[in-house]
Amino acid sequence: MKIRSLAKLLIFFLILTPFLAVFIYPAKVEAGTFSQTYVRLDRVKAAATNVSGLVCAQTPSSDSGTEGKVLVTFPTGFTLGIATTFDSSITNLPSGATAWPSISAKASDVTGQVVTFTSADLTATSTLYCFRWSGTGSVQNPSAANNLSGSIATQTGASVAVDSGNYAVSVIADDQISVTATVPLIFTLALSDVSMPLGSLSTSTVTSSTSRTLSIGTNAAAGWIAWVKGANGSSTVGSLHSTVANADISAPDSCANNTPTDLTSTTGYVLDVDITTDGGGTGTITQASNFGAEYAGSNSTSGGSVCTDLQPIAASNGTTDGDLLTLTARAKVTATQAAASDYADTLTVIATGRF
Amino acid sequence: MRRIFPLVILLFIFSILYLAFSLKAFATFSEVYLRLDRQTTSVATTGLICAKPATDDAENSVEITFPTGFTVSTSTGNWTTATTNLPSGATAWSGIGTAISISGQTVTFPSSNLSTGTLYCFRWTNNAALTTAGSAGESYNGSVATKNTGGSTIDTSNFALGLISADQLAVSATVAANPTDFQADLSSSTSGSPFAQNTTIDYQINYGSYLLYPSSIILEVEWTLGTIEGSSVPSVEIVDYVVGSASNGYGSTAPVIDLVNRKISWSISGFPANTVDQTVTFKLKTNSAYTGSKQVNFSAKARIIGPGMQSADSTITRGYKYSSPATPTSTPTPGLTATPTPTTTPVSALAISKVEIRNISVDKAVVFVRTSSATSLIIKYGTSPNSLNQTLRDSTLAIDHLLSFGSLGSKTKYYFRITVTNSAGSSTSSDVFTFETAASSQAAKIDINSIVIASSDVILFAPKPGAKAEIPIIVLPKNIPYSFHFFINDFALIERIKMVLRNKKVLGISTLDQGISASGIEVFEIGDGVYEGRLKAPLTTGVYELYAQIFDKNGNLAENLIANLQIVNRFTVLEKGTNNPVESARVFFYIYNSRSKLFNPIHLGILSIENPAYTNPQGELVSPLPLGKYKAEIMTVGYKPQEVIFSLDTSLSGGKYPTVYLEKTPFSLIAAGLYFTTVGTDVLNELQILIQNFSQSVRFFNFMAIMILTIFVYLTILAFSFRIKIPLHSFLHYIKHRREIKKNLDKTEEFSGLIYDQQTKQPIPNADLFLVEKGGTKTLAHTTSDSEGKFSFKKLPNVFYNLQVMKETYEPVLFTEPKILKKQEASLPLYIHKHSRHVSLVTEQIKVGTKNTLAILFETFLITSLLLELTIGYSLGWMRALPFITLSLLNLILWVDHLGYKTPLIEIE
Repeated sequence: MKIRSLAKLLIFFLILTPFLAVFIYPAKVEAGTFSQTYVRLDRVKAAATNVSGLVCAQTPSSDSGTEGKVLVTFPTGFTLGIATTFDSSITNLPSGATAWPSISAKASDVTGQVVTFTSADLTATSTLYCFRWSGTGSVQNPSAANNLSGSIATQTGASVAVDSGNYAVSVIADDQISVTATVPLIFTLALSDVSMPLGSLSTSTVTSSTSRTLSIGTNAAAGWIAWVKGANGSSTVGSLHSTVANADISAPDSCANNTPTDLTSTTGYVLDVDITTDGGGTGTITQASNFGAEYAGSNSTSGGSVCTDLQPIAASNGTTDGDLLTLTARAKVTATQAAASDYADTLTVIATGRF
Repeated sequence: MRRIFPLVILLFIFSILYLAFSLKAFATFSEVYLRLDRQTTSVATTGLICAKPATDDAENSVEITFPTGFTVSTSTGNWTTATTNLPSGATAWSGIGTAISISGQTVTFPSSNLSTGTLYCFRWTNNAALTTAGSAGESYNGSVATKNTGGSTIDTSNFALGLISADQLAVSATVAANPTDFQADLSSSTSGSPFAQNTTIDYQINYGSYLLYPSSIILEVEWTLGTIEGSSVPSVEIVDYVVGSASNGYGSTAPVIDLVNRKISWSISGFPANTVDQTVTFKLKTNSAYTGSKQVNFSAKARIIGPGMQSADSTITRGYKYSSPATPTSTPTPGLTATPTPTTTPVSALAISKVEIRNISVDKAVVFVRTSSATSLIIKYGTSPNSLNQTLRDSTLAIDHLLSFGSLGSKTKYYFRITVTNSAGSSTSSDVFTFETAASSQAAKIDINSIVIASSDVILFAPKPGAKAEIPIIVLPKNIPYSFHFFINDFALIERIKMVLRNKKVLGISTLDQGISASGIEVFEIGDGVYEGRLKAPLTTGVYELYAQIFDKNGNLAENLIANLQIVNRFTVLEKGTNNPVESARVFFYIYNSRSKLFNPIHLGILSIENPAYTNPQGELVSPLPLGKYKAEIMTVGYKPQEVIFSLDTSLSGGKYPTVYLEKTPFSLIAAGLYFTTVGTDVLNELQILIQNFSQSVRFFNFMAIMILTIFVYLTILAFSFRIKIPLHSFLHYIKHRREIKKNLDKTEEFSGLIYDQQTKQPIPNADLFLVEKGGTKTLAHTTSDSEGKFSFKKLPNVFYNLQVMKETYEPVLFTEPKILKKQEASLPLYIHKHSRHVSLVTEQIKVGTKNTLAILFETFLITSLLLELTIGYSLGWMRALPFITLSLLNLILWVDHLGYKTPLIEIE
């Protein structure tokens, strides 16, 4: 009876043994191959030092094991520093790449041409994992241009190979192109129109002409100066002149005056220059004393005398992409002013950049 | 060797040091700029150079390198410098002087040592030194560099210049004079307005200036189109400028004649201060463009256009009235072959009698010139009256010349003077005329397919659908009005259109204007692009051309031929032998049907002409006929009827209206009867047509409707009057009396009585009794007596009335109330008696019957009136029907009021 019971027990264990074997013996795993691997050197010039770079590997479609570290084998000819010279980071990765999980901040080991970083498991299949390395003294390119190959491999924490793949790099004599350009000295000037009709003048109200604009643009570091001069009168007092009546409508005071004249309380012919736009750039427009103060009329009846010598009307102390000045002629006449329809003056408007 | 080695080493070190010293890097100026005094392209200019040194060294010279593209004078003598008028804060450049050398774009000036941090400036003062580049731009770069005595650069900097296409602003202004500062008084010494045709009118302008300084003025006179009396729109060019009549103005300023705008102007420059009463004269001459009976008024206006102002117009308005030429008392016998006696042409002074601008386009103009005798012609022309430097010639000796100016500039004012020379070598010249060419554009054209010409409701020409467009040829009796209309596609820019009629024999043959009438008329736009005008055929037979002169807003003046007119004598009926006109001759027209080869009578369905027509005192028919072949039957009392066949065809020399000579016959009653029967039939036909036309008038229908309504309303009121037996004139009193009775009903008194026949002493039933106001004629109430002759009224207390009793066959009797009351007190009846005179019973029955009938029909009239009023109000407007509706409603109210009123009958004891 006992024997029969022992036999039955034996047979039971014999039947059970194959099933238990599955649990007793761990499954044997084969090392896999990365779907894609590449190492980007940030400089590929021969003998370049302190070369940083990027390591990328795409896991296969099936999980080959639990990664614990990654081993980057640089081609022969590259000079590698010690492990602490390799700093890793997971910023500025290529589009579509996933940060290599838990990549160690510094390399854990450098042996021969192999640089090892610890990492966590690359859990996702068919995923491109990347990290960057940098560091002074980390990598120096070979001294001569050449096409070279290396490998990227992952291992478990117990140094069992998980996945691997090869890569190639090309080291060239010079990897940089010099781009050069020159910005010339620039000075632009534009006048919106060439006529300023005042029309029929009055003895009671100040008549203003159609306004015209002077636009200036320059990269002159010291800015610009604009001048104006008339064609009639003298170097101190300008005028509107009628050939037919042989008469003048003179400026009310000297062009050397540094304050505008308001024609409301007097008569004559003046030019008003207003700062319409102080454009972008380093400069600021001014109509300070001796730089157009007399033309800076503050209302619609004021302005400064124009004479036959060039007089500054405004200036700027720096660059500008478009300063705008508005020029308006104004006049009022006395009751005894000779009638004529040909009163005229020609204003010459110029400007120059201060380089 | 050992001795040499240290020397070599020393030399090497020295060389290195020398090289380092000599190759010392030069610095840039702290600030540098170059100012061109003119900043436009291709301009000779002076300028300013400023620089602030940054390196302390001994400057010896300064080199200015001007941008490529600038023209640098190679003469150092042109590069003079100055250190005046420098910008504020700048220091005069030490040691600067005239350029010492020039190499390419680089000019070198002398310089003394400069201090760092100081802005040194100098100007070059001769604009012969530099000319700017030829194109505008921003990249004109140059440089300034200072050198030391060894020629090494101390400081250098680049500068940039911008050039623009125009760097100058033209300021212009006007100081206006006061219009009263000038004198421009127009006067005319020619009396006799309204003037007949061909009257020369003298004008004078006194002009001047009160200004205290010399001025430039334009003296201008303008003559208007004539305005026909009764019209408000000037429409006829009734006066022409007399060529050569305008005198010179102040300072021998010649006049300039603008025929297109009808102006003469004198442009006087430097007219002296405070100078008045200067004079110029000119003449206008009436033409015969208008031959109607109304007066045509035209004006001349003088003014001065001074600086910035125009003086008020000095205007003179004159009239024109056409004076008919004397009518010949007899017409020459037909077939008269008498050869006219040659007359000697009077020798007149050589003159230019007419100048016309007939066409103006962008680059061409056509001028017509007529002279007093055959001449050759030269026209000098140009764009200034003082520079007539181009020539047109017509060497052919002729009276009329048509010349074309070619290759003219668009929108440009041209001036020309005409000089004519006759075969004897005598010459005369015209005034200076002017015209302005059109702006770049295409002149408008009349659509020939749209031309329609009519006269007296007869369409003389109308375009035929599908037929080739052609200028109409019209045969028109002289001196009859005709109208035309046409269409212009590009009508938006048209300013005005003037019609001009010209004798076709205009070139080379002496044709004077006396025969041309009704020309120079403005036409009016009656729809978009559709123009209509009316003219009168000339008095003189001949072939004419009718042109439309189209003036557009671009300045084009384009003549378009509208029609060829063959003006012929009218259809005339004369007495054979005496050639006296036959008045009131009946002319009946037939038109030839080319298919049936028959003449068919003309009626309104065929042609809108008066048929038959009757001759006027001159024996003429004035109505025109369209082109065709016609037969006319002419008859009148005392003459033998006659037939005539004639054609009006398109050949310009072809058709004409006939002159018919009727043979006088002895008086025949039958013929006279036949004539008057025919005339009677004509009158009846005319009347029938008149009524037919009248009946088609909407206004006539409206009038009739209102009239019928008026009659109906009147009949309604009349019927109501008969119904209540109160005369119309007493209506108001009747209503007033009734209202007072009603108001004081409790105070009223009874007024009753009996009516008896005076003869039979029997009571009279159905006698009408009227209560009449005392002392008046107004009826206040009415009642009738009953079968026993009783009657009764209500009356106000203490008011007395009269009682009128009426009964057919009885004499009306008026009783005064006090007497009645007395009789009533005495119980005496009121007696009336039958007519004592003979009165027709029938007449009285008819009167009574009519009144009763109308009274019965009152409701019918009232309803009909109201229905009519509603209908007319709806169709013609409620305001028109309102007065009638008011009357009818009033009538209705009175009727309703009357229905409830009964005169109480009081029993008389």
